Amino acid sequence: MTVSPQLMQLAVEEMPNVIAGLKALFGSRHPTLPVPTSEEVIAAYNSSYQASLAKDDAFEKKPI
Amino acid sequence: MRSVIVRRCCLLALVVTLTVISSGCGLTTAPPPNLTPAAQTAFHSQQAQNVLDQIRDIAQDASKTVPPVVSRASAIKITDWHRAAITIVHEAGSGWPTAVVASLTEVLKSLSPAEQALLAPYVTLTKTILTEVAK
Repeated sequence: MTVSPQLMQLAVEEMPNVIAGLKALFGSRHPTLPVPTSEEVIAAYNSSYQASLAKDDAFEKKPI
Repeated sequence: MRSVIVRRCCLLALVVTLTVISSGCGLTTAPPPNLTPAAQTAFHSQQAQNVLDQIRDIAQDASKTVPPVVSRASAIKITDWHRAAITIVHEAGSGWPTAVVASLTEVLKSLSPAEQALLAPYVTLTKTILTEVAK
């Protein structure tokens, strides 16, 4: 399998458009997706933070 | 010639992946517009912690293989760094990316060359995402 230099050049030149298309495709939030409240976001982060610290502690305390 | 093309394709794929992940559809999505400033900070901090967790998880998992790919001592170093990093992100709220990225660079230097090579792609990805989260 060979890829012509022209094709490679085209791929490089069109990359910004490809990236812009992907961002437009995946970057937007679906209109029917439930939006979390501020309290939920903060609570989820604090919970995740504590769980991550606990995993650190568990690894270090685990015997070899 | 063929290997050069394959290498270029891989490089292109990597650049696209990093860009898309860091700026569009992956870990650095924009927070919902209804959030308060404190919740927006928590939202970004969560994204940062997710990527820091990944580095920690990779190191820990690599230390559990037989034979271990990463030594337990190195995995503990990374775990210690991770604890400090997520604590800084949690407590500081903002202004942490420079310190966290610098500390990641330093902890990587303390590992063996083989371990550095193993973790280098993940570290690069982590730095890219942290930089995007901080914007």
